[in-house]
Amino acid sequence: MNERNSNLTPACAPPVQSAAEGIYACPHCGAAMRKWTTPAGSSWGESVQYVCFNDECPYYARGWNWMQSQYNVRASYRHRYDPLTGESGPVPVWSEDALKSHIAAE
Amino acid sequence: MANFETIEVTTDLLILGGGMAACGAAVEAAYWAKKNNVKVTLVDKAAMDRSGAVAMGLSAINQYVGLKDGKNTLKDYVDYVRNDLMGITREDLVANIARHVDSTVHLFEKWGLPIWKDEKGNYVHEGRWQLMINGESYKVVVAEAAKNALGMENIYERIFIVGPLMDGNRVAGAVGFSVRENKFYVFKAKAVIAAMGGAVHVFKPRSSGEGLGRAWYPPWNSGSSAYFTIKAGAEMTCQEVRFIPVRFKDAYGPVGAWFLLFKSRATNAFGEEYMVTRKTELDNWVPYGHVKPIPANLRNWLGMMDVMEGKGPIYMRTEEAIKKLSEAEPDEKLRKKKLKDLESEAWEDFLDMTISQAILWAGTNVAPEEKPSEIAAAEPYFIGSHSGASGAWVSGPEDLAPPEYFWGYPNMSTVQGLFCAGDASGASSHKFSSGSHAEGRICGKAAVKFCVDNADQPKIDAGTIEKLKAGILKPIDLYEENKKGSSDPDINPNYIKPKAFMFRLQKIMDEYAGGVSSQFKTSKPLLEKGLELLGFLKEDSEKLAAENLHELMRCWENVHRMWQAESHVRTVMFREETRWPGYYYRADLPKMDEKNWKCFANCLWNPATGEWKMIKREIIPMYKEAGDYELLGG
Ligand SMILES: Cc1cc2nc3c(=O)[nH]c(=O)nc-3n(C[C@H](O)[C@H](O)[C@H](O)COP(=O)(O)OP(=O)(O)OC[C@H]3O[C@@H](n4cnc5c(N)ncnc54)[C@H](O)[C@@H]3O)c2cc1C
Ligand SMILES: [Zn+2]
Repeated sequence: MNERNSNLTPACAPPVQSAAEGIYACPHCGAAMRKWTTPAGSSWGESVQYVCFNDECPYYARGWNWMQSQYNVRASYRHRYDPLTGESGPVPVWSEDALKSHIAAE
Repeated sequence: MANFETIEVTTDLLILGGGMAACGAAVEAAYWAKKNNVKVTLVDKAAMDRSGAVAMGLSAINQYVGLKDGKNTLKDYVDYVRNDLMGITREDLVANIARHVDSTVHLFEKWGLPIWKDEKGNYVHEGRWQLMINGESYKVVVAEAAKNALGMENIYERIFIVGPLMDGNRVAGAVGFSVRENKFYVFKAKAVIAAMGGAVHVFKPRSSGEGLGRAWYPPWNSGSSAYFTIKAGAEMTCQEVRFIPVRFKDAYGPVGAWFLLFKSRATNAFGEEYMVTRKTELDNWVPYGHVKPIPANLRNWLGMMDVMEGKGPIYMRTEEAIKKLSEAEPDEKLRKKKLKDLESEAWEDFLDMTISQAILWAGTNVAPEEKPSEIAAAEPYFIGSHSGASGAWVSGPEDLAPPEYFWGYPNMSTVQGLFCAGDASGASSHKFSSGSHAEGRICGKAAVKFCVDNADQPKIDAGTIEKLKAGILKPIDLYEENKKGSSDPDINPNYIKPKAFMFRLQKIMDEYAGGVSSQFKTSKPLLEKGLELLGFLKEDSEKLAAENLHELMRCWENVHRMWQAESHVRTVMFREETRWPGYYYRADLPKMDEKNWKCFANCLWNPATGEWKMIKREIIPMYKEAGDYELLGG
């Protein structure tokens, strides 16, 4: 299932990074990243971050093979961005669905 | 006296323990020792490859700050720790560890620990400070580096350290015995690093009877660090701050994945979600009640309020979470497959690190997709490196510590030459595995410098050693002398066996110092009564008896726990407020008293008089606090 919200930036369009609108594009695929509430009790501190939940994102798609070949684990990662600090990086996932239950209503 | 050969080892720096902190101390000390011609010796009660709290392996490194990449600042980490500990934190110590921890993690990687990275070389973060690892051999990797640095000829394994050797207010070494052979060990040293972990089984565990020995914290860490430093005459801090994690009930399985990955809810028996229904309670603990993440003890507290109102059991709604996740799939065939995948992920979570939880599930007919599973606050643990803070009061680093917190050598206790790291040093919580290693390295460097500056070997007279030897072996003698006094070796009018002794200690702590059976509640009268009973227990500790070497170790483990217990009870009594309600609750003083008690509660046992002294120490912040809470959304 494609997680992309069609109202937001389509994958082929150039990335849009407008903090005012709260829309961030994934630097790997260009898809609009989804607003994601970090789990309570995690050290992320219940902040709102943005995650690329595009299942066709090449970064995420390649991640499965990468993790298997490098670490012998069945896992991948998705691109994550913290608008408060400007910090970004990979967040681990163990299945296509992992973390999706924390996608916030937009 | 039992016939034990005395082995004497003379060294310069003696490292006690073989866990994360001790391994950090070993690699760093070895480096400085070579330059300064200093001899370093390490002693562990177990085998370093698999000793300490990291023995089973971990799946994440919990402290990585990312300073170099500008990911976070030192202040970010200090804010995080201070907030979780409700304001009671030595910021200079936390910052000192935080500024060294990244290089420790880079060392782990260099030594061969697989830390997850993406294709571009970025660490895969599970949380703000957490890095994912393939951690099943974490301890082996870290121990190997320590062994290579020191050389096996300088490492003594399977030696149980009982207590300190002293030359006035200067530490002079340690004494202990082999847990495999009849050998009594005397280690003479110019400086000592205590890194023997925290304590478990001081309180009655939830799992008793057939579940005996099961706990969240490793049972082989039994308060030796606290005993060693207290008996040496070191000032202790935060001995009231225990840690109680919420786990799946009885087998202590991890709850993290259920909250974080499956987004499961925890509800009471009536389906109410305490984190939602009790939210206003957080207002009573401001400013800490309003910070994010919510301090661990306050999260516990909201659940416990439900339990105390008779709304238990508390359930992890695994069935709900799995159903919700699988129903998100519209295609029926795919949905079935998804359900299967989720079930296997659910089981795997336990099989990874707490296999017994999976066995308990199987044994109690819990199918996570059908039935919720009970969670509960575990019993109290002393683990100053995790989310507790107990340990010795140590000097800060010269450039960060205010004069009140600085006395010459970073991480040296108030006893000359006695350094502390990991669970052994207090008021610097949230070090975890990597921070404990980093703190060990700080100690290793400082202790070598101490050895160079204080090149004379401290004096110990032979009579003292003989007296210590007789005292340590007494349980064996007592058993031999009296074993014919009854038909059952475990029951005898002239002695007490370590297991029975432990049960008595746990019963006292459970009922009077706020253990599981009193829902972590206590009060001044209860604590006073508990202290009186601990006094009798202390008298009876003279009658501990051991049938063999293994029981001799058990005897001394329990004496260590008993001292940890006494310092805890005294400090809880001294702090006249409730500050960490999910860890303990003073029913007679139910509120936080920020004005009078935003301070460190320290205690000191005087080896000359045998008397305890309680001391209030000021909290001197490194960072101005205004703005901290704004940043964290509070
Ligand atoms: C269940 C659990 C899960 C954890 N998960 C994580 C995690 O995911 N990530 C993370 O970074 N951290 C984690 N931690 C924290 C981490 O394990 C500790 O912070 C760290 O191990 C503390 O280091 P230490 O050296 O003080 O104690 P330890 O590593 O426990 O070492 C204590 C050492 O002292 C020795 N010893 C004890 N008594 C004596 C004696 N009398 N004589 C001689 N030697 C003695 C022991 O054999 C051992 O070698 C976890 C801890 C626990 C308990
Ligand atoms: Zn993407």
